[in-house]
Amino acid sequence: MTGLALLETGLLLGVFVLLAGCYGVLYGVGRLVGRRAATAGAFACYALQCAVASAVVARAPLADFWKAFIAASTLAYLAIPPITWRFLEKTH
Amino acid sequence: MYRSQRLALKYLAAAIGFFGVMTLAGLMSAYYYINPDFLFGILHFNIAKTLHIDTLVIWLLMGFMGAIYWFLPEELGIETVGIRAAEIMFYLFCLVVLAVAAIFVVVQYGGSDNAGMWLVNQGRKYVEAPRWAAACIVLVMLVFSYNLIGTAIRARKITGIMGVLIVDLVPLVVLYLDAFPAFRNMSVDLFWWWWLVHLWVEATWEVLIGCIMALALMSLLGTSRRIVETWLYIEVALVLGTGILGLGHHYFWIGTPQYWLAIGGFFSAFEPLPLLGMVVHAIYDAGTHHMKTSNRPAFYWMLAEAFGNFIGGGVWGFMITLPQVNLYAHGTQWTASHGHFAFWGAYACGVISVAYLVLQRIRGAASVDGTAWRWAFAALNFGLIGMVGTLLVSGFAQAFIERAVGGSTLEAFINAQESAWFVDGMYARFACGLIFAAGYVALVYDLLTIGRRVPARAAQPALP
Repeated sequence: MTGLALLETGLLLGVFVLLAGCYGVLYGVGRLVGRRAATAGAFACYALQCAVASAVVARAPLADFWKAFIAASTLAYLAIPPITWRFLEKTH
Repeated sequence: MYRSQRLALKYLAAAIGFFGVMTLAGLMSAYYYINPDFLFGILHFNIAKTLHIDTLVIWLLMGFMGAIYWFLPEELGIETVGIRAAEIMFYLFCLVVLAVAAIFVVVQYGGSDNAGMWLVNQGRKYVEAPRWAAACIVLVMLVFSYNLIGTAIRARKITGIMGVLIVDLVPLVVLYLDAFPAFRNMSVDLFWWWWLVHLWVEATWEVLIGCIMALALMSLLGTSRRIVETWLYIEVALVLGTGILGLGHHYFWIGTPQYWLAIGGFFSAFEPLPLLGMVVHAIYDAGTHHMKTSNRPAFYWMLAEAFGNFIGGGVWGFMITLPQVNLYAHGTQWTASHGHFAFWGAYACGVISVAYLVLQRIRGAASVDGTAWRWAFAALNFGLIGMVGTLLVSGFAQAFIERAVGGSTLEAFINAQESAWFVDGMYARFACGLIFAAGYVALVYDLLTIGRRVPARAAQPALP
């Protein structure tokens, strides 16, 4: 791995999870206050997360196994906030 | 107030005191990077760093114990069993920590023989304490376990949180026994050493702080037991499910078989998922209470815990957890950046939150707020974020110049250390460390005074 590819890959992986956090926060805020803008922002973050995942798959010098893992976990990140929220509403 | 709760106060006070020692030793360690001649021949970098990381473990552990001694009698409705022994153990614990710190500062080095390891320094990161001190810590943990289990038996009551806590005592004590053996084969030694370091931090302690936060949530927000216990079970299952085999990310480069690359990378890459669930949970709790509570500092520190854990453990951890990246990043300031952020988010914020909860109760304040805690909150968090940001830049320089470009030669190491990115990062880290230290001073001031400046509660529930 070249030096630049290393930094690019590390940063992309960090931003990938950070965007998942932004998606979760905005999804929660959107559900709490009922504002469409927040929910739209949440899905915009998720779309960006997908774009970052695509960049990792296309550009990062990772083994295929890890690329497949990133792609699969993108779907898991999509599901976590709605499932968690539904469960929170049910238990409260 | 129960005797157990008076003991809790002592533990929390000692924890905050050792938090200060950790901060001072951290500042010293940071200063060595910009002035390597500092205290030359008197106190070297390695001793300051040892004090920094060992007091980190001690103040958090004392904070956890304080929190549990506080909540235990309320949870089970009776005084803690064996409280006299627990009080003696508190003084023993403090004496041992002070004696070990004095040995590290004055004696510093022992030989690589049994006498050195029993009396001076075991030489392994985080568990440098000599064996006599480690034996005393085992004794403290055994009495702590007796307190919990004995109280549950005498009360003839076992709640879900208590059940999880009692089960967690087993690995808490047993894994610490890993502090004793010293294998001649370094791979074998590191293999077992990581059981202690990783499984304490990313398994046993996670469960412990989960239980403490569950008790704190009931106390702070009045959340129902059914809800916190359901979430505790789910979150503990998820954290353990990913955290136990996540141990493998420490086995990448220590001479263990290659399959650990896949196991470690796979399970630790799952670790951000439950943390994201916790963030969503924090948003839900904050929203349903409209950010209103009688104890704003405790509430904000609890929120900081959820977000800090996700960003420090999840985001920063994921950057370096896959083997191809970790090959270049491990052992650089990039890793130190992750360690600082994750410890802060996962544990430190939680202990500070509990300290505020306890102070509100003992000072009988109807509500606690003010400006000092905001300054402390801002300075500690911005100082910490600044430190991890600057460490990250320095770590990038190391991974790039020393590892990826230079191929990890000695010359490449020197080049990285002299690089402007690394050097400037170290200066900026020290500056941010000063902001963090100022935040610590504000925190201590606030903890000493908060709740004394507002009207007392109209009526306090009678406690024995």
